[in-house]
Amino acid sequence: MKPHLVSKEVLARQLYRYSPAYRLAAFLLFGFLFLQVPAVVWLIYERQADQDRRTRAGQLATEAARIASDRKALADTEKKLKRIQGLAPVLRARLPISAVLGKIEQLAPRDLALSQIVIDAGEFQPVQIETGLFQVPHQISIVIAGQETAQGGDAYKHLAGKLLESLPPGSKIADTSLAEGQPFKTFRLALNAPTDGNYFGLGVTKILTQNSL
Amino acid sequence: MFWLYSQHRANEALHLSNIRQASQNWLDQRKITDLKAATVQINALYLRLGDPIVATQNLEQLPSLDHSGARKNGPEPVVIQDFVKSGFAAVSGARRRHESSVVFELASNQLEFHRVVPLLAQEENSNVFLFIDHIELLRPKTTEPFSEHPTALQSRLRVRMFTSAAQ
Repeated sequence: MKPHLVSKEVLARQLYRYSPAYRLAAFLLFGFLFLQVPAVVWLIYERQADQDRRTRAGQLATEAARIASDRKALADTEKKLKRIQGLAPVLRARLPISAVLGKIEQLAPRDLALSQIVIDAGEFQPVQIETGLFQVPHQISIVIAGQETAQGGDAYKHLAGKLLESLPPGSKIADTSLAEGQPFKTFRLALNAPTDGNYFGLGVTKILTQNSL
Repeated sequence: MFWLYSQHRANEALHLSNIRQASQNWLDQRKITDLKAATVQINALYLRLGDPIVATQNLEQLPSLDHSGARKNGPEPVVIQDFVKSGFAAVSGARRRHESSVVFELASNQLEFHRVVPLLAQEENSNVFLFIDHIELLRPKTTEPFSEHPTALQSRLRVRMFTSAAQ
């Protein structure tokens, strides 16, 4: 091919097209354009996500307003519930003495005759309830004295053991003693029981069970 | 890029905010559902707790638990009136300092064990704020052990009732 057949413009264009500088510039340009694709995708995604999340926020705000409205209607019940919960420390510390006495009556064997039952509340601690203070007991002491027949054996110990099983966990026998005598032996039992709200062993049911209302 | 990044962070913050709001809504909704389900029970329990303390209940202004346990129709709490009707003698006891309570000392020599226990159970059930701080049941010395005759016990009680306001 003779060079004079190719015009200067064609030569210049070919030189321009195949030169490394041109290729580098083209590469950079296409690279830059290619890099814009994820950015555009990201932009579209973020705009869509923003729209969705704003819509969701609006729905949640509407839902919150509805819930607040519902809750307002239950404000009275909620206030009552809070006051009931505020009384819980007092109620929990109240060991029903009638249940203890009933259990003693139920467990006492026929070989024993009780002559004395003394129950004392102790270890008082003040509890703040609403605007006032109330001293709640954290322990009760039970003293049982009486007579046992000569054939009774360890009936008083049996009573102590059975009563201990019925009292709240953490209860303990403080003292057991037996004095010989005629015709009856005299015994004395002393037990301590915590007032922790677990009175099921005594046959006490929860205050809010349906039957107790 | 910086604008995109800022947009992303704002979106994430909005997403977290939505999650928090949704969780809060769920908790509130659950609380409301539970409250609705338990409304009858709560009202009944509240009435039961308040009944021995106040005579009337105004739903708009909740009953103040600031009375000494006495109904309007008597000088003594109902529980004490019941004890007196059943044969106990009652006198006011010394109240603990700074305590919201009323104290009564009770004594009887007329009641047998099988009458004392149901009476105590009845009064403890009727007034959930009744605390028996001391009880002493003694068989009279004149009665022999294992006697099959009805035996009136010497009963001594010190009872205390919670009231909400210091008097």
